[in-house]
Amino acid sequence: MTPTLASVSAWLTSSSTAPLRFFAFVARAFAAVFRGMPVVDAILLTSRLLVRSLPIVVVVNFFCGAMLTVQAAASLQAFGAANMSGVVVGFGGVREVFPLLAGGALAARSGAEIASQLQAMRVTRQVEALEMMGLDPLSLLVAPRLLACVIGAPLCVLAAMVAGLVGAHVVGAYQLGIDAGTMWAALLSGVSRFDVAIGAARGVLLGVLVGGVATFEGFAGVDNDAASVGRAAHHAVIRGMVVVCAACLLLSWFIYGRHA
Amino acid sequence: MTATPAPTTTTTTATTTATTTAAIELVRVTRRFGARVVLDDVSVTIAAGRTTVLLGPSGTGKSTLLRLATGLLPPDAGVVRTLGVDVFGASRPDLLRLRRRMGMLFQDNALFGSLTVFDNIAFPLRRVARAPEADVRRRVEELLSLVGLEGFGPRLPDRLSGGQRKRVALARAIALEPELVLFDEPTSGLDPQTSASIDELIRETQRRLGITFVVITHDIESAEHIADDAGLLLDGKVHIFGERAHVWASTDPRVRAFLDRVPLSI
Repeated sequence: MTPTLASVSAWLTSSSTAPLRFFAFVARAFAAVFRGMPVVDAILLTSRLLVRSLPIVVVVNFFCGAMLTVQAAASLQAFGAANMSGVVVGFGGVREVFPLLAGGALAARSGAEIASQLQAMRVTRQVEALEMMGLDPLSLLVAPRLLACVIGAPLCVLAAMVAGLVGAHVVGAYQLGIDAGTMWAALLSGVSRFDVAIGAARGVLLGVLVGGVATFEGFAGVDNDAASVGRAAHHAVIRGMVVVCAACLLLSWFIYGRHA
Repeated sequence: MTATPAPTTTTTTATTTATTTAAIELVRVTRRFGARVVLDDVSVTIAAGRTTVLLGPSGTGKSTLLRLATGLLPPDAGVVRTLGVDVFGASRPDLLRLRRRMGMLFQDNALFGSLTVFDNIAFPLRRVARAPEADVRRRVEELLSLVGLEGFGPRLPDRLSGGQRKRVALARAIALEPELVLFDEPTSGLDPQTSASIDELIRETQRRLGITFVVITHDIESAEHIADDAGLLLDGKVHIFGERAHVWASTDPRVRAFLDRVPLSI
């Protein structure tokens, strides 16, 4: 086999087994939660995640809610129904756009941070130092970070929904001149408790995926050079976002696809 | 101590002390990275209770040998026994238990950057031994004194010099009173005076504790100072192994070339 064919073959093998390795890793990491994970670390990491990611989630979704309202109003203007733009934003935003953006922001902010932290610890042999002490790095390092994402992501999704609706309301009521009460009523008319509950559940799944991808990229890599820290962060963001988008599409199809 | 050099190499250097037990035993171990054979059918026995230095040029498998001995890296063939335990035949809990009987000083120290010197040394005592906090404090103070860093407890590792970091790493490595301590290039990147002080610390600590130290290095001066036994790895094989004086007296041309620092023709 020529070197080129060998490298293509190795890449194909590696790519085809990557999802299996990923799911196996996440399963082991979750098992490690119940095997001596430091609870205090998990609490501190969850707080850190919320402190760092929530502001971005809120700002991004506020602007997104505002922009969606402008476009919804513009498209409904032709039918004389601009004051119904809140229905569109409330419906589509809460069900789809705000959770998606929350997941993306989480992957960009906390996913990158988690991946680079873990990879830096691997490069500086801190992970090996733990193994040499007879400790399990999965329990000590990976499990609390994964759990932080699983707990933090639904809170981010709920905050994203609120921020998006507030952004929509601000633009609808104060820029487009829609009556404030009408705008709130329109925004909330399409949103049920079921949607909010589904949003929170979706947040849990996004937390598993974002946390899983970030810890996998940071911990399970084979490279140990300085550049691998940057690569781990880069992969955590890109792959995290792709996984978040794919998961949102699949969930949307399963939950709303047949009886929208 | 028994050493089994490769068949093509000097065998006269191996000495035997039947009464000493083995700390690490490699039996016909081979390890490859891709097509490159890093360790080729290596058999070597490292005696307990002594300081053994493994020398060799960069890339000859010294670090690989240490990682095999700790179970951090599996061999492609052969058997590795550390402190009497078959490292790759042991269950995961047994391997973790074995590692708790060892300490390791990494080349880059592997200190936890977010923890103070005190907390770095206390880490294995708190997390592994689950010692009461009063005992942890007493032991850490004792270790800081042993490595000459009294009063450095509250500092962060990045506020220390290279030599001081090395001392903290040594204190952490011996915190759990291990039977075997492994050193990966302990004087790498240090100035000659600091290297000499680390050598002295290693020598003194081994003398006080009486445990097994295994050091890998390519620092010949350092090796001469600290070794009871020495081995030279060349081309993936243990080229020579025996008591330090014996190795240093070798007339083997390749051993002499390495020990006398004869420049390679590039």
